[in-house]
Formats: sequence, C-alpha cells, structure tokens
Amino acid sequence: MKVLMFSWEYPPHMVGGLGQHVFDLSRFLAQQGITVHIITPGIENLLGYETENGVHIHRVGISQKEGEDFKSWTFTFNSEAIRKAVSVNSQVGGFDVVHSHDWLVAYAGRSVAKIFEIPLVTTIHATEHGRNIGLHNRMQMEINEIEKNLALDSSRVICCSQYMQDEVCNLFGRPREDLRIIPNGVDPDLFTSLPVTPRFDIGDDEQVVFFIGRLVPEKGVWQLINCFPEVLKAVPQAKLYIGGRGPQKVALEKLARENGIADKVYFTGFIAKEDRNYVYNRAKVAVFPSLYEPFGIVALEAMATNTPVIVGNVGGLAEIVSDGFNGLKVSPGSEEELAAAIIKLLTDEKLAGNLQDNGYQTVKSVYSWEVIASSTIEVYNEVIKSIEREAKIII
Amino acid sequence: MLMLHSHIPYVKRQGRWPFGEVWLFEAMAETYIPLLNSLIKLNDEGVNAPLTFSFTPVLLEQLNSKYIKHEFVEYLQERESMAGADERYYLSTGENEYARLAAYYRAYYRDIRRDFEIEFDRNIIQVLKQLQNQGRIEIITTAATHAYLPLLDQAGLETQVYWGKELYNNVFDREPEGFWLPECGYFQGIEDILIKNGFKYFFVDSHAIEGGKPIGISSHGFPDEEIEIETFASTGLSTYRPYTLKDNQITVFGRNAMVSHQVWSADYGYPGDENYREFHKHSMRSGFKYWKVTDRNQAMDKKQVYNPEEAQLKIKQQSWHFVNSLVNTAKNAAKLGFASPLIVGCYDTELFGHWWWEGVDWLEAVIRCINDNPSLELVLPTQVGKGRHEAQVFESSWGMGGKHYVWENTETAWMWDIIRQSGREFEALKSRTYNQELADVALSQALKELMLIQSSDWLFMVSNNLTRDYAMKRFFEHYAKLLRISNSLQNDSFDETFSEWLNRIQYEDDFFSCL
Repeated sequence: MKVLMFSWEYPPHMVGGLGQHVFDLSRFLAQQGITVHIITPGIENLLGYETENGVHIHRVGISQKEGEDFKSWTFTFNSEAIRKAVSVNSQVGGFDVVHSHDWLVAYAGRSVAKIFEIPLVTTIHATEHGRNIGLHNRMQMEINEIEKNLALDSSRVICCSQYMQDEVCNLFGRPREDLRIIPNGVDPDLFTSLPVTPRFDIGDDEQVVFFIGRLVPEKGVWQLINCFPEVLKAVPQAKLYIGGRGPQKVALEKLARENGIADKVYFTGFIAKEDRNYVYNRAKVAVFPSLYEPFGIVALEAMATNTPVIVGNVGGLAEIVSDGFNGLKVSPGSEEELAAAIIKLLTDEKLAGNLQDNGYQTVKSVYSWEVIASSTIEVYNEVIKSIEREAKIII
Repeated sequence: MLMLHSHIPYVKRQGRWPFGEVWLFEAMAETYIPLLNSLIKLNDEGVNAPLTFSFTPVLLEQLNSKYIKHEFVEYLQERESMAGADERYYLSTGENEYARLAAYYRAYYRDIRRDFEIEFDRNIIQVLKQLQNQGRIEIITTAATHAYLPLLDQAGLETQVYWGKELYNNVFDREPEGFWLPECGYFQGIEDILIKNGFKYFFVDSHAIEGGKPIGISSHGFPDEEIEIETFASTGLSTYRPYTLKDNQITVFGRNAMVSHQVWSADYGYPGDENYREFHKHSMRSGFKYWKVTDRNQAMDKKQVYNPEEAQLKIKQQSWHFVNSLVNTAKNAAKLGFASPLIVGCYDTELFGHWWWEGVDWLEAVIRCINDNPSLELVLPTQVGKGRHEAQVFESSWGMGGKHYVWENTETAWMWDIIRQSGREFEALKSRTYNQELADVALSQALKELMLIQSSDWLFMVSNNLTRDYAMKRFFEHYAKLLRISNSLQNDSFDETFSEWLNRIQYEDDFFSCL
C-alpha cells in the first residue's frame, strides 16, 4: 500500500504536537510495510528529498519570508505540494490513499485526491473553534470554513479522542459513522535519554511534583500553585517543578511568592528533552489539572516514564485516565481535590506503584504506535474498499 | 448607448447547490429569458430597443450545452413545485399575503419554462442570434473566461483575446466588432492586441478618459482594510464623445458617471427603493424572497412583505426620473459644446432581474420613454462610428478604487503567482513536439484548464470573502489538472489510466467545443 501524506509540520519543523505525531505515525506505518511519502514545507539547508526510518520525505517551497502574509505562504505551499505530488505519484505508479493533517494542507489534499481519484483521509488534530473557544475574527472564520470543507470532502476523518469526534461532528455536521477515533501515541523509548549534566539539581530528599505544558490559563497551573501550601503542610519535602514557557510565566512566579512558597516552586523555563526526562525520572507524581484539553498527550508521556499522574477530569484527559486505575482524576478547577490527590500519591506508595504500573501498561497496549499504525491501516483499507465499490456501481 | 455585460463563470458539472450551476440557472431564469422576452415584445410593438450585449464565451458555451438545457428545465420544475408547496403552507397558516406571493412565483417559473421550451426552443443563443441578424441588437465579445487582463502575462492576454474572438465566431458565425474588457480593466498596450485581432472598439470607465475620482462601484467585503482611492489627473476630455487610439485604428467609449450613479449609488440608487424586493433575505424553507427592502438601514427581521403591484408604480416613476436625468445631462453637455452628446451606460446584465428583481421591467420602461422622447435616441456602437479625437487612457477598472485593488491585494497575491506559473507551464508544453496522437487532445485540455485558472471570478470571490472555499477549490483543482496533464506530456507517459482520466475531464471541463 502506498500512502501520500501532506503535513505542515515534520521534524525539525515543529510548532505544536503535529510534527511529532506525523513523524511517529509515518515511521511506524513504514515498519508495517506501508510505503509512505510525506510532502512538507522546505527548510533552509535541508535536502529536498531524503529517506528517514524508511519514510520518504519531500520538502517543497521556501520558508516564510519576513513580513510575508501567513495565508499567502500557506496557499503557495499548497500549490507547490500539488506540483510535487503530481510528479511523485507518477514515479511510484499511483498512490492508494492521500492522508492530510489539519487545514494548512487542505487544498493540496483535496485537489490531489480529486484529480487522481484517490480516497482522502484527514486527521483533524484540533479545530480553530476549539483553539479559540469560538470564532472571533475573519481569519478564524475562514480557517473554520476550510476545516469544515476538508472534513466534508474526506472519505474518512480521524480524530484523536471522543471529545474531538464530538467537536467535528457538531461543528461541521459530518455524520459520526464517517469519523474514526485513533488516539495519539507515545513511544516510551523517546523518554529514556538523560542529560550528561542536568541544567538544575534535584535534591535527594525532594518529593518532586511535576507539571509540564504551556503556561496559559486553560492548563490549570494557577490552581496547582494555589493548592501547594496545603500539600506542603502534609508533605514538607514536596517541591513543585513547572516546566515550559508561556505568556503567564511572570504572573505565576508572582503567585508563588504571594503564597509564600517561592522556594518550593521551581520554574524551569523551556526544558530540553533530556532535562525533561531527568525530572520525570525523579518525579513522584505528574500533575495536569487542565480546564480544557482535546487530547492530553502529556499524561501519556508521564505514564511512559513510569510516573503516576493526576489529571483534570476534562476532554481527552478524562478518556485516557480511569480514576484509581492508571491515574487520579480531579474536578477541573478544584484546588481542594487537587491538594488531596497530590498528598495521597506522595504518601500512599502502594497506590502510586499500582497507578504507575497500570499507566505504563496503558501506554504499551492502547497508545502504542504499533497499535495506532494498525488502526490507521484499517481506515486506509476501508476507504480503498469503498472506492472500489463505487467503481463497480458505475460499471 | 446601453451596454450590458453578461457573465457567469464555468460552473457546468462543478457542483449544483448552494454554489455552482444554480448561479447559471438563476441568471437564465431571472435575467436572460425575461430580458429577451422584453426585447421581443418591444420589437413586436415596433419600439426600438437597440441594446449592446457582451457575453463571455464561457457563458455562451454553457447556454449552448445540452446538459445545461436539460438540467435547467428540471431546475424550473423544482422551483415551480417548491413555490406550490410554499403556497399550500402559507394558506394553511393563514398568511395570505405570503401565499399570494408564492402563487406569483409558481406562475413565474411556469411561464419561464414555457417560454424557454416553446418560444425559445431551449435555445437562448438562437434568439440572440436572430435579434442581432435583424440588426436590432449588437453582440460583442470579451476575454474567453473573463480573465482580469491588466495583470495577466502577455501570452495569457493574447490567448484570452484570441479565443474570445474565435469562440464568438464559432457561436455567431461572424466576426465580433467590439470587445468588452472584463471589469473595464484597461492598461496601455491592450489596444495593440485588440487591433491585431481586428476589434474596432472597446469600453473603459469614466475616470480612464476624464480623470478625477473613480465611480468605484460599491464592493462588499474588505472589512479589514481601508483602501486609498486615487484621484486621477483631470484631462479635460469627456465621455460625451468616443475617442480614437493609435492613429485611428480603434475607438474607445467611456462610461458615463451620471447614469452609473443613478443605478449603483448606495444612497440613492434605484434598486434600493423601499418598495422593491429585498435580495438578501430569503425563506429558509424554500429560498424564495418574500420581502421588500422596507428600510435599508433596518435589520433583516424588520423587513415587510413584498408587493409586486406597489413595486410596479415605482418602476414607472424611476424610469421617468432616469430619462429626465438623461435629458438634463444632454442639456449640460450642450452648454459644454457637445451638440449631440453620447451617454454610455454600462451594466452587468445580471443586475437586471437577478440582483434587482424589477430591473428588467425598469429597463423596458426606460426604453419606451426614450422612444417617446424626440430629443433622445438609443444607439448601437457601430451606428456611432469611429472617434475623431485622439485620447490617452488611464490604466483603470470599474472596481472599487478605480484600479486593480479588487483583484490584486494581500488576499489574492499568491493566486497571481499561480496564474503566471500556469501560463509558463503551458507555454513550455506548447513549444515541445510530441509523437503521441493523444498529445493534441492533452494539450488543448491543458489550455482549457489554464483559461479556467485565469478566470477573474476566483480572485473576486477570495477578495470579497464570498463563496471563498468554492473559488479556492476550483482554482486549485484546475491547477492540479493542468499539472497532471503537463506531467504526462513531459514524460511522454500516456498509459491507460491517464487517457481514461483525460476522457473524463474533457467531459467535466468541456467548454470550447471548437478548440
């Protein structure tokens, strides 16, 4: 089977989680014998074509010029991607499936699928409406329109969670039977490398509570800092590590001072992969008290590092964690529940051990890339069959 | 002189509703057929109605298509039965005014279908041809797929003008005399191509000749940007007379500002009258429009029910008013030394009937009034003859701002890159030689795809944020088709899959049968 993928992000071009997703999905598809070609934007000093992990990568177009309109750049990339797709398609003797990821490649995906009469599969990772909690300007409405038409034009739409499936169904009116839920995955092997010398030291007696994510209100960091004095009363050795960047960093530092726990909260700022693994390695508990979360990959990453997790009972997080089995769930926004859950995991080693083991098993069984790649291949087979059926009806 | 420009982009087999073929069907049912009915009626009564029309070749080809004719009849039947269903519904709810209006629509679509099938023998082109052959109207041509010419590359320009002429010839069995520049888009140099192709005259907007502030018909959208409206240097020339260019080789007519304002002005334009039918509000049940403008500054939910009889009174008043303005304008022109001034009105044909429901009746009333007035005469361009004074014409259009902004702005800059890229792609293909027999077919299909990419419609829809996704989808699809054909031609690879596909898209994009 030959699959043509369009993706706006691919390493080293990573803005959100999309690039990592496409990187992992494509190499695991290749492992299962699928021929995968990815068309993605060009990056200075990188080859226009290379193979990596058995995946064919084509980079087309040029990076965004200073002052260039983002939409212009995107649509120009789509036209370059179409040009590349046309020539690669004849080189490989015709693709069986076109797979596009998110609105940025919508027109390349739709027109190549249409012109070559190949079924189109689309993964919608997030929606403009969800990202902005509503549509507030012309640009957002335009993107919403593009997402909608992409969803309606695809043979099948893949979403990462029940939550996202509901969103796609309600927003775009695509019937549920055309939508497939395939979660994001985590590769535990990517969480093993450790730094030669860590950027900061974690003391041997510290009971580490770890948060990682963008520092924005929807992630619930506010509540986490507010509840921490309560945690310290029960576990004085507890220390909160907050990894990641974001517009609210200064305000959060101030909040820690106001709570009188500045010395018990450490902001790492941007955190490199190895340093992140180092903190996970030492952490007693990972906390993601989000108020809004389409999927919640961070919870799986924590599970992959054998760290017990506490999550806000919301969106995709609520689907990943089963309370008391592979993690603990708290009501979104509740500081009392959050403090109680943290204290519980810092003091009940048996419970923590169970959650940790079950969490790791969850990652290995449900969220492993092998499983995800097979589910994706099932969707490919499904759309190929449906095209064959249509062809028969015409005859 | 009244010049009506008719255009619908190529929509055949490219989606029906809400965007696509329904645009063409609406123009046929609401504008072309009623307007031709009106002309036939005037002729039968011995009233002179010498109107000038341009039709884009891409529209002519669609009107000529068996498929479109068949689908159009179905569309009319659907509308008629939908109106019948509305009528029964409103009778059951006791909303008699609405029921009466639904009955009016039911009769309307029934009559249009009868006219189309019986009077027109399903052949709108034949009716046009007859009227032209009798010397009653004059039909000119325009760019083949309504490309916006001032920004097109040289090869694209030549293609659009040449095929504009050839396709006209193919439909009407004669050479077109005049050329309508899409959107009145003019730049210095275009006249050379027009002369080369044997054209005798074309049209530009007022400020192209006179200078001053452009009329700049109101354009929807553009909420984010303020555009600067350039004031063109005053030339001292006047649109009251035709001018000549390039040593008398071609004549240029300038559009008259006054007659444009009367119709287009947002403040006092005729179509905005409170008694006329509101274009923007339609029934969620059936799509029919049951309301009148009422008050333009009021919200949509404040609209009152439409009354066709009331509207008829307004048509009478406004046609007198219009003809009076013509007389006054002529008097003012006489003071300036123009003994028999020329007043050129240029409009989109679809304005009458489709956008402005009462427009066809208004036009008919205006023609009658002009016939009754001994000081006025409605003329055709060939009757006016050549201009005698040489003029310099400004680069311009009739779009907002008077230049290219509507078609070239931050929203559309990337589209122009693709349009030019497509042109180069095609030129490269054309310059090669091929052994394959299929290559000729592939090459002419590539030309069709190129011309479809060049349509100004996609640019307009993206600029105005109207049916934007449809426009972008079409734009990218035609580009992808061109690239696929190009790829096969360059690699000399015409396998079975390709030739089958080529067959299918010839069917999909099958205009320009003579190509």
